[in-house]
Amino acid sequence: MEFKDYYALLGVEPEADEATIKTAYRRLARKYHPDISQEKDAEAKFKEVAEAWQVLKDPDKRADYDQLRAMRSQQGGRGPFEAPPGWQPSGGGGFDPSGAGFSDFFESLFSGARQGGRGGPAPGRRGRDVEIDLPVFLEDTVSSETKPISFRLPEYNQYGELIGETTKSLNVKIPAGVSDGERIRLKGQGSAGVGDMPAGDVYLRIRLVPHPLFDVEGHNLIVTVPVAPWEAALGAKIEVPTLASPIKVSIPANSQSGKKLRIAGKGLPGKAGQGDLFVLLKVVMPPASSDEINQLWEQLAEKASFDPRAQWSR
Amino acid sequence: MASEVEVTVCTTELYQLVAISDQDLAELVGHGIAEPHDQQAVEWQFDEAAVAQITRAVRLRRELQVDWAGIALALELLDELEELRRENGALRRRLERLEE
Repeated sequence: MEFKDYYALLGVEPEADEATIKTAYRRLARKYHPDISQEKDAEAKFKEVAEAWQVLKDPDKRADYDQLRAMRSQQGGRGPFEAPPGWQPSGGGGFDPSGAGFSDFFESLFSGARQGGRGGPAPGRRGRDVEIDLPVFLEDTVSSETKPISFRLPEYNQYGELIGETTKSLNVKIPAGVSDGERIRLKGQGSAGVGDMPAGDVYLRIRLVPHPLFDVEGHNLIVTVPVAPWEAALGAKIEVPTLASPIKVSIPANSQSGKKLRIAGKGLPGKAGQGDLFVLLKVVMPPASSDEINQLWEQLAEKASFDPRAQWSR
Repeated sequence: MASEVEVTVCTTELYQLVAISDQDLAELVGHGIAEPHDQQAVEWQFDEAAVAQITRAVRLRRELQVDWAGIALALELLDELEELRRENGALRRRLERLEE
């Protein structure tokens, strides 16, 4: 088992006073809190910091830890750690149950005190909730789809300690019209309760997978359609993809690049009715030119006498 | 979804779901972190989104050691940040389609 240097985890000196430790914890908690942080491994880092704080904020636990730390540095301070035979923490009242899920190192040092202090299993407690990100394809949101999902569920014993993980598989109905970030609650599918208490819930957080063709804005879809300069100039009837089958769309003559055409009712289903599809025109140049085509462009340049930057020179 | 039945939770049920005291719940509602259906009712009722918000607020309060006013502000800013990040990601993807 790895020896945890709680002082290093909080970035404080071993002689640091309580106020310094508290400030260090608060600062790191804000930095790594999984609800706030975008950093990779934020949750794991937050757990380490919370564990260090759990020990160092409590004078008795800190004294126990300091004693072990001193013993360890006398022995060279390297290699795996084992609690000394007959190790008994001196106590340190009040174990915060929110700390479940701490490291083996923490458990080997302080779990004796907790169980002794509690004198038996904890009273019944509702199982823990679990939150999972669920990637969903745009196509899956058009109609109600059933998706098989599987996720890891932490298992706790009667003391609320983490004892392992199980994998759970479910078929979930994704309601039509779900949007990015929406949460779906699966009642009673979370971790088992303690005693007679009910199991926790699972919350699925919908994450729309970016689509190669369509962008989403509320319940509207946007598709960027490349058109040739002459299609934009003369107008054209072109085929445009939708989430169902492709449709024919008329491009009016003299369309600018960036023009948006609205196709009613071809967006995503939503609470306030079906969204729309917006066709965004993007005028693109043909890839290569020949002498003949260049001559035609030159003719056009002469005839059109068009200055696209006329506004700049005003 | 409009077709789904809205689930509401009364305070008695809420206390089974979230570790929060009467007084803290009053504080939390007072700061507008979560709203009961009818604040004047004898027993408050919360919808699912409010329960999720209360759970989040209680966790942040315990783990960051910030007072309720700070939590209210933090949650508001976090929601705004998430919305802006989502919008920024979507706009970036749209911009990429226009750039060549």
